[in-house]
Amino acid sequence: MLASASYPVGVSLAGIAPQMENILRFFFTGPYKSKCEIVPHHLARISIVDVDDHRGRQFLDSCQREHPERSLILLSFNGAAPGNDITLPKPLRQDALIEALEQILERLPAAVVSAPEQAAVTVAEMGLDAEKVVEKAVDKVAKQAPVTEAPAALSAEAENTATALITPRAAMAAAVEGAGYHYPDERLIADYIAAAASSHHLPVEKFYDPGRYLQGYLSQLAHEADLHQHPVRLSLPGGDVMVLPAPVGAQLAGHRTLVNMRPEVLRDISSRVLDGEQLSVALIQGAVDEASYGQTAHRTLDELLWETATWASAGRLPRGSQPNGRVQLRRWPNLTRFMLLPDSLRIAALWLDHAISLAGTRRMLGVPVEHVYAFYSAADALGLVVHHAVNAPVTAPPELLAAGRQNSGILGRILNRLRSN
Amino acid sequence: MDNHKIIFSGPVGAGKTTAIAAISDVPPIRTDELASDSTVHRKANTTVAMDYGVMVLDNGEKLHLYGTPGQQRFDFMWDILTTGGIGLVLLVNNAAKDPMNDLRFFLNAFAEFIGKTRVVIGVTCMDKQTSPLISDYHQQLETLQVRVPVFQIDARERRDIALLLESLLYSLDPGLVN
Repeated sequence: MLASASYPVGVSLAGIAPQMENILRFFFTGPYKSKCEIVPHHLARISIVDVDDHRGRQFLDSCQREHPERSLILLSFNGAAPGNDITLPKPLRQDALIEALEQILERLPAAVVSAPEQAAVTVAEMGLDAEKVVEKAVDKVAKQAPVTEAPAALSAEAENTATALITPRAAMAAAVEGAGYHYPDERLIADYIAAAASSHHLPVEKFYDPGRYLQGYLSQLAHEADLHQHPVRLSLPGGDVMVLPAPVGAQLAGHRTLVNMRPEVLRDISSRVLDGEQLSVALIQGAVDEASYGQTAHRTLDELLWETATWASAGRLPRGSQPNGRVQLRRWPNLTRFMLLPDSLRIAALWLDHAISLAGTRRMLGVPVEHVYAFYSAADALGLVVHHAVNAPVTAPPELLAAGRQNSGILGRILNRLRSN
Repeated sequence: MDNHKIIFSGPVGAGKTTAIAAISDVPPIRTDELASDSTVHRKANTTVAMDYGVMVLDNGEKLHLYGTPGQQRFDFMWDILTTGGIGLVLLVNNAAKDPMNDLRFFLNAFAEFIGKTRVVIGVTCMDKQTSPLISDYHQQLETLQVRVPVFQIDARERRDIALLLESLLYSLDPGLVN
């Protein structure tokens, strides 16, 4: 047990892959936040460094020169590194990380230590592997969230859903808390969709009307902006969205937007049926001072449509969609800049080459139907979906019918490696 | 133990060396020289033979990452490097004089390899030069009857390069399990 500590103690991350970084951020903003917090390198007393990554090794070299007093936790596939630093094997286990942190916190100089009563996380209590941290953090937040936080309009639309809707909201709150604009982790989006889907009683199809959501309003704003060749601003409780006119002749992708809204507010507003009395639309005649908006406010319309359609869909289909109709993808979405939806790469690859139904996609890939619906909704919002007749032939190769198989080949091993780091 | 390779190609300054550095387990081996031709106006050093990086897979196998030289006069290297490759990552510099021409040139140069495998396209420097858009690349590719992933990337970002590679893998086999 700790004798003392000035909590929370600053921890920095170096060379950590994005997925693992997300997990660690959850860990330090959830189960372990009373003891440690993520801070910039120059403020840290502890650094967690992936020494298999060359950026991690570069950081390690400079850190050992400039901050020899810094406590280090090194992550590596290759066992312990020479010296006194703690080395943890990858894949990282949460109990090993906690044990290492406790060991370091115990030996921090007493002058900076004073144990808070609430610092009661123990290895035994948190005896999960690192992959489970997200689930645990999400559950914890979800249980604490008051029922009144459910998006009012959405709960009014779906019957008996008030309790279930808490979970996706709370799950996403953890993803965006305290950060600049960045998309939530793929698994958290899956959690959001799964929780919402249970409230829609999927896989029985439930539809939504995009025109009543922010997604639909954005398309209208783009049309108005082009028509008048002036920016159009939609003001909502919690912020506003401005759509700039596209250059003459440009398509949807040519529009830019300025989003003056926190990510979690955008998510909540996107997931509700909008109340016309609570919003206003204005044509901006004068010049817009784009520089006055923060960097994260500048987004392309297709990025924004993709995201808002995902939140609105929450695993449902746009009204009028035919679950049994064959669909195909016109082109790949720009997934490095769009919110990465669960199973989106697999679905995109399948739909690019093959005409197949939504239900067939689920069967062939072995993915949850709501993931297919969410991807379809986002892609359809951007006009990326080609619709074929219901009786059009399925063109997917038969070997894909073996859904759920293991990645035994070289491609699978490369994928596992990319995803594990 | 089997060895496998993925090829990174594209014109000078597209970010091949940087992209390999972003995902390699070891600092990439570079065979740079001072640029002595027209390249000198664009970058001080340029790759005259190849870049090399490696990712060690969970079972100890190695995935070799080869970056081709950007200059056309080294195109004799391209066939050598692509032999036995899993797929091609083609990088295009959006701030170049004529990125669409670069795209067409490299797709044509690697047509035989792409025909046997797959290609994914990463567009760099869109922060410096926003036009052409990703949709413009798709339109260009449609005229060539090529339908492949095209992503805006920052070659320094591991996440972007990893996503490019994942899309390559899923293009080869959408049935891969997450």
